[in-house]
Amino acid sequence: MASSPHPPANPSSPAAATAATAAARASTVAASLALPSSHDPVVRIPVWAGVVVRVLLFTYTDAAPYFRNRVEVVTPITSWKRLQEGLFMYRHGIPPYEGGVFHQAPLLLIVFNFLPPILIPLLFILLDYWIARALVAVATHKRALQIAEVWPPARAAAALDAAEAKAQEEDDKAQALTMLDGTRGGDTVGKSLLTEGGAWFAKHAGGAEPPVASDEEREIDHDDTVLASMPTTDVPPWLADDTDAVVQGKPAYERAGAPPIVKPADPTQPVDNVLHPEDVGSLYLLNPYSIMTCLAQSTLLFTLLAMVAGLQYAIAGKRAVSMMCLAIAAYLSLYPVMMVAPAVLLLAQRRAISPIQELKTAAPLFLGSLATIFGLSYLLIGSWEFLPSTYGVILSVSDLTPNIGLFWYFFIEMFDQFRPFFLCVFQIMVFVFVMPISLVFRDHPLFVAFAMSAIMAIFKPYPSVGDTALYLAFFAMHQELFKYMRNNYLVFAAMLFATVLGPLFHYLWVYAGSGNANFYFAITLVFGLARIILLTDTGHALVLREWERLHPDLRRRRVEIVHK
Amino acid sequence: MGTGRPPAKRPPRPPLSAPLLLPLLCLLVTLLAPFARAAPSDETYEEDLQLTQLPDGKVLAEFRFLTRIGPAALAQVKENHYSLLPRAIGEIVQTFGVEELHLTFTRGIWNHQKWGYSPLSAATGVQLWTWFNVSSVDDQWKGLTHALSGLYCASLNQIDRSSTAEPMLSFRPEGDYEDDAAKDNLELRYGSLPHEAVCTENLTPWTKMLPCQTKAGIASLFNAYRLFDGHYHSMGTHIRPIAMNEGSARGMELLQTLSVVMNPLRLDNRKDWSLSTIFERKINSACAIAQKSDVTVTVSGHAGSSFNPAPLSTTTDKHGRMSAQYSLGSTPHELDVGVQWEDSAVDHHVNLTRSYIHVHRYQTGYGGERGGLAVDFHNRHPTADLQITYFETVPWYLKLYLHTLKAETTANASYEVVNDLYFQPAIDRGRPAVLEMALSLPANSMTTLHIDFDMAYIKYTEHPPDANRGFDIGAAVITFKPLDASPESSALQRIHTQTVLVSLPTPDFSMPYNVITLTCTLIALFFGSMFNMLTRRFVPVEAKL
Repeated sequence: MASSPHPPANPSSPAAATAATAAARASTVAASLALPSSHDPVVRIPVWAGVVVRVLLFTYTDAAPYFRNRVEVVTPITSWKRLQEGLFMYRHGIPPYEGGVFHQAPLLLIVFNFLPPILIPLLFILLDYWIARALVAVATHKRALQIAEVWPPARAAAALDAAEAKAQEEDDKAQALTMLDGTRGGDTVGKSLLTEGGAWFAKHAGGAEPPVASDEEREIDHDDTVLASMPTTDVPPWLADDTDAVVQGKPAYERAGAPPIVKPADPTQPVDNVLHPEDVGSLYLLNPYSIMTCLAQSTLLFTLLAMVAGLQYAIAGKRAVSMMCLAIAAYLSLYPVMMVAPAVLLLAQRRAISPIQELKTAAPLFLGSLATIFGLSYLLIGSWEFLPSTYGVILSVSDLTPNIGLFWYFFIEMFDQFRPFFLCVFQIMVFVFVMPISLVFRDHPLFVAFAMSAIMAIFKPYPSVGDTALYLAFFAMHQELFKYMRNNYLVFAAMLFATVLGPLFHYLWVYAGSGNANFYFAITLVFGLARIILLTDTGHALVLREWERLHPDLRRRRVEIVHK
Repeated sequence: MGTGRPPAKRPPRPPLSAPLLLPLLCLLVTLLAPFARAAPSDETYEEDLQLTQLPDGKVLAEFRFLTRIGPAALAQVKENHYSLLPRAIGEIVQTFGVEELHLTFTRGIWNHQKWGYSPLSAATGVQLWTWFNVSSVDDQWKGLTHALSGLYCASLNQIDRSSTAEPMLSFRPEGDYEDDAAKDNLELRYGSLPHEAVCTENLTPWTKMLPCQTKAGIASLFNAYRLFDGHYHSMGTHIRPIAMNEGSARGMELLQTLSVVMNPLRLDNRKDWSLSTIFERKINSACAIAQKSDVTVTVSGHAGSSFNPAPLSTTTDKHGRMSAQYSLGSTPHELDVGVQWEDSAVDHHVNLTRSYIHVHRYQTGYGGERGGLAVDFHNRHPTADLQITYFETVPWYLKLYLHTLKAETTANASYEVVNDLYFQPAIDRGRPAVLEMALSLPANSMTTLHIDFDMAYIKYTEHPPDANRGFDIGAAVITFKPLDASPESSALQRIHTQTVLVSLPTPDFSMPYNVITLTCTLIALFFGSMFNMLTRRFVPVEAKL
């Protein structure tokens, strides 16, 4: 994080605006812990608390070897034990991909070949912390978007019909592929309202004129715009965190560590808590799923980091670095190739160009990085035999060790003659929604990233709770949607239920022998169901919220869903 | 013509056509051939029965049927002219380019701690290793296992790629070859079926390979009820090239062996035994074709035992064991050899000192997820460090972690036990893991090898019908040079460990439809909700007044 994308928007401390090195960040976090605002009712847990938890668990408990063997936490393609076996074979001159044990990417061998064993737990903790910092950076962007979001005020009744007709027309247009042009906006308010990003860029970039400023300049520019657009005077004194700030006309969140509650004047608008980016990092690091994954030393963390870093750099506008990160993620476990879609959307939004145009530049960069990494792997292993042993195993699902996904029992029980058919169906299932989601939610790239991470966590052949941890971190960024969701209780009750009963049922099946495989399978179904409902519910919430935002005069009307 | 049916209504008998006649004629000629002209002089057949009273009182009967085919007869075999060599064997050897073949069917386990070492001891189940002199070995191996499967009514065809190994150190060609280069050009394949239930259906085709079958000679003792009632039963077929007198030309040796361990005490509650008490049969006559037909009875050489009937000769070896020799004449007379004891009290002096190396293999861990294989090697020799080769094939569904392989010895912590290690990782559904090690066992010590494995979760169709019984992991083979062997001798002694029964986690076999429907329901739910979310829009409800 050499440059924070939106330093002034970072509310944790003024220090963040001036210094943005990792050290400075740590001190920032410390400051926010040491000086909780007296107006902040929430206990804010700093990001490094998760690191402390990990260090303690690594040092003083036997949790690490325990989780290293849990089917929920490690999978054949991320297992630390299998990596050790591959490393052992590699060091002793046995081709590591010849056998059926090691299915991980060749470059991981290099990483661990030269790493002293004492540093390995530290490396995994560092990876997790890095993921959390990258999530904080992404969440900072999300916060800026949230603040910049424009809710048009309810218009007079006379103007209602015309506005609605116009909005509907825009909605229709939005469906069309030809409307992918991101440079719209700036002409009319109605058009720019369709996209918060469009509106945001339009305001400062001066309409269709292409941005010429450098990244840093533009960032500052944006943030000024964001600040200017803040409805600061709308905050009533009794809701503001810092009354001085209100008096001085400054946003409360900039003075105190706490996010403001934006209480709009328009009573039809929702009252949103402004996202606190550090919270997303803390939530990720204190999520039991991510703690378990880190303790198990799952190599999944490399994939997660590459994915989140790809998004982070896409937000910062660094196209080449972003594509390289995503290429690494895709190289490590194939499915993160889906993350190219939100990254391209973010980059396009950043540069105010159309995603198609962006893709034309980004795709060659991505493919070039991928080719380079494969070339390096080939040089390392000396043959292409790692391809069937890594991607072949991922695609053909030849290792049927139980996990929290849907593949293993299905393909244990599948009739042989239908196996290829269902394998194709299931694999297509993972990728089939990339394009539609990216089109429909193209103005919400972070939601697309959330949806991609959710689909990966649910539908990839070897998912683990680490994927779900990332999914939940992205979910936490969309807290403005919570109030629109209908099944939160069901989802989280089912998740808790599955998390507790999963290991129990696995024990009953594999060790006690008093249960059979169906017990564990049923629990994975419940877990899958909970995550599917969470994903679709969040999507519905976003659609509903967007509809309310863009239809100011219909906000208090009851709505029904129609198929148009 | 009691039926009164007119002869005209009988279906006409098909005329004997020339194509049918010809094989019949050939068959007749083939059958008569041994009598019409003497068997080629370079074919010999010998049979030999050794009865040994084991140290713990059990009786070991070892039958050896040795057929030697000289180069001249072998040349005739190439023209499909067979005399002493069974045609089935000859065809297999020719079709699949087999140079050496060792096939054993075994039930029970040879207790080398109590019974010492036996050259006829073999791994439980079916064990097959073959040296090929052809290039496309894998195809030939597949053909060979299928052919042998048909020949011996065994499931040898289940030795597929995923259970075939290529040992590097443990097995050497045992026949006579021109030079070492000829040996090095051979390709070896090893396969075993630890779960094969060896029974009479395998014995019957095996006895049909004998020249006199079970009609005469020592094979007339084969009473399947008694043979398969023993503690240990092993029958083997061994083919190897041998050097005959005529210089460089090689002949072929077919050795059929059968060894069985019986307990006279269990059979009729007496220490005394004879052929008629342990086999319920006597030898009536020698096989007419056999050039030598010997019976030897050996006891552990303490006083109080006598041979009945009186032997032709007796000898005493350096271990103090007494042997009595009998010979079957060509004239029919009943032979019922046995041992009688003066003292009827059961007291066998078990002497264990001759077997120094004991091996015990077992599974460690619990549960159906992961475990370990452990092997204890005991070297009971007081002074000598012994060199052994350990060979193990582990099926792919046990995923071995080589980095967890540990060797610990009780003798001296700094002793270097593992001299050489060869490891071939398994490929899922492709080949087994092969672990072969040259070990040095310190004197008077116990050495333990331990390796971890994960159990694979396999498709429901890959489970055997009795899935909850588990999977047998074939015996490991320990090869070493006997202590009393001369340094230049190439004789090797093999002992085999126990098989290990590993129980893999099983799916619910009644569930395929339920799993498919439940999982697909979830997928459909996802697809439906996503589709709904992506395509539908909100409209305000029209006020109904």
